[in-house]
Amino acid sequence: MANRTVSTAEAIHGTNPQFLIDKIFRERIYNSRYWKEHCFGLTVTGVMEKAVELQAIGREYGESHRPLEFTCLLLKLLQLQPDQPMLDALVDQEDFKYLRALAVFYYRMTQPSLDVYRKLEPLLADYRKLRAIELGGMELTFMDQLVDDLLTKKSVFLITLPHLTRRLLLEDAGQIAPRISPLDDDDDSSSDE
Amino acid sequence: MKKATEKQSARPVATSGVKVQRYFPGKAPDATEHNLSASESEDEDKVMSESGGTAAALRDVDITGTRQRRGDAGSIASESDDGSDSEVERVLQARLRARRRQEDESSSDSSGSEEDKNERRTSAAQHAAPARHEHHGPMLSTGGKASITSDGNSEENVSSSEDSYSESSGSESEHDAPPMLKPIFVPRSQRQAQTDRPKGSDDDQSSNLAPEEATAESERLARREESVRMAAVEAARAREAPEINTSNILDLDDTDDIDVEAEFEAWRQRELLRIKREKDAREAVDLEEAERERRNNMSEGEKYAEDMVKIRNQRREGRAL
Repeated sequence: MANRTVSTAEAIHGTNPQFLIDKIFRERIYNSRYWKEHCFGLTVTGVMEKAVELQAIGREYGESHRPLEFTCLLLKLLQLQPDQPMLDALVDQEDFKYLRALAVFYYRMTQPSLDVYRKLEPLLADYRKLRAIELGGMELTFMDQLVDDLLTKKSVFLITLPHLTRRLLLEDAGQIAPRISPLDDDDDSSSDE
Repeated sequence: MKKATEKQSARPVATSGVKVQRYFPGKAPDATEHNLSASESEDEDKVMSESGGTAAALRDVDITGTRQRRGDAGSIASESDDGSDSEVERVLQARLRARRRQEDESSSDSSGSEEDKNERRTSAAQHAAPARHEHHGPMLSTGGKASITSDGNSEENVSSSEDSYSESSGSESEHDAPPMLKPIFVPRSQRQAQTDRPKGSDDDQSSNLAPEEATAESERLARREESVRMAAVEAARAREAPEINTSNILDLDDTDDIDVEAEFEAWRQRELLRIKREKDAREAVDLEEAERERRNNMSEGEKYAEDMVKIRNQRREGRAL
C-alpha cells in the first residue's frame, strides 16, 4: 500500500509511472531505509521539503548500492504524480537547485518530447554546481550539464530515460524552432540551423 | 495386489533378521534381494499394515516379496551360514556399530533407532517399531504416528538407513566374493583424516599420521594463500572505488558564486561546445539531404560514373595506406 501509485495517476508513456524506473532498482528503493523512514505517506509538499535538504544527485551510494535520497524522492514523485502547474513551478523555481534538479529529472521522464525541449532548454543557462555521485566516486557537475545529458543521452545515472524525439526531427517537422543559445546574442557565429 | 493381501493374513514367520526391501523414488531395484542383516521388518510390517498410504503398500510389496524369496525362516542367523556371508555380516555389524556411535551424538531421536538396531540383532522389539516408522515417515511421506523431533536429523538417519538397506542388501548377496565397502556417512565433527591423499597410500609409511599431517599442512597453507589473495583483491577494489557516505559528500564543495568569472567562463565553454555539436548535426543532416536530392536528379549513367570514380579513389587510398 505504501508503494502503490496514487489512484488518480495517469499512465505515463503507456505504463504505471513507477515502472519508469526498472524493477530491480525500484525494489531496492522500496527496501531502503530512507524510503521507509522518510518517504512514507509523503505528499508533494513533503517531497519538496525533503528535496530542499538534498546534498547530491545520482543513483546510489557507490559500493554499498544504497539508493540515494535523490532517486527515492524521484520515485516518490512518480508515485504521487504532481499536477502540471505544480510541476512547472518546481522546474521554474530557482531558489533550491537540488529541488530543481529533481523536478527537471521528473519532467524529462514524464512529459512529452515537445514540452521537454520547450521547458528544459532555458535551463541550459543555469550553471550552478551540483554534487553528482557515480559508481566510481563523487564529482562536481553543473545544472546545464545535467539538462544537456537529459536531453541528449539515453540514460542518466543508469536510469533509462523514455524515448525523446530527436530535436532535428521536430525542427524539420516545424514543431519547434532551432535553439537559440543565450550566447548567440553575444557571438557573431550563426545560430544553429 | 496379491502380495499385499497375502501379507495382511497373519503369516507366522520368524522375521527377526529379515531385511526390508524398501521402495523409495530414485532407487534402482536390486537384482539380488537377499537381506542378511537384521531388520525390524516384522515390527515394520505390523506398523505399516496399520498405516495407510500407497508408500506403505509398496513397502508391503517388497517385504512380502523378499520374505517369499527367502523362504520360511528369515532370521539372519539362519541366512548367514556360509563363511563369506558371515564375513559380510561381521563387516556390516561393525559398520552399524559405527553408525550407532555417531547417531548417539546427533540426536535423541537417533537413540531410538540405535536401540532399534540393537534389538534387531537379538529380537524384534515392539517399541522400536514406532521409532523406525518415524524415520521412514518423512522419507516416504506417510502420515501415521510419526512424531519427528527434528526433521534434519530424522532425514539424516533416514538417508543413512536408506543407504544401509540398499547397499547391504546388495552386498549381502552370495555372488559378491569381496565385501564391497559401503560408504558410511560420518559427520564433520567426527571426521579425522582427509579422504584424498595425494601421495600414494600404498607406500609403507612408518606411521599413518605423517601423510595426514603433511596434507593437512598443505591445506592450511593453501587456505592462507587464498585469504591473502582475497585481501589483496579487496584492498585493490577499495582503492579504486572509495566508499561514499554522507560525511564524504560534504567534502565536495558545491557553493556557487565563489568565482563568478571562472564559473561563467566554464559555462560559456560548455555552451559553445553544445552549439557546435548541434550545428554539426544539422549540417550533416543537410548534407545527406542534398546528396540524396542530387542523386535523385541524375540519370542512371551519371550515377554509375560517379560511383566508379569513388570506388577507384577508395581503392587507391586503401593501397596507399
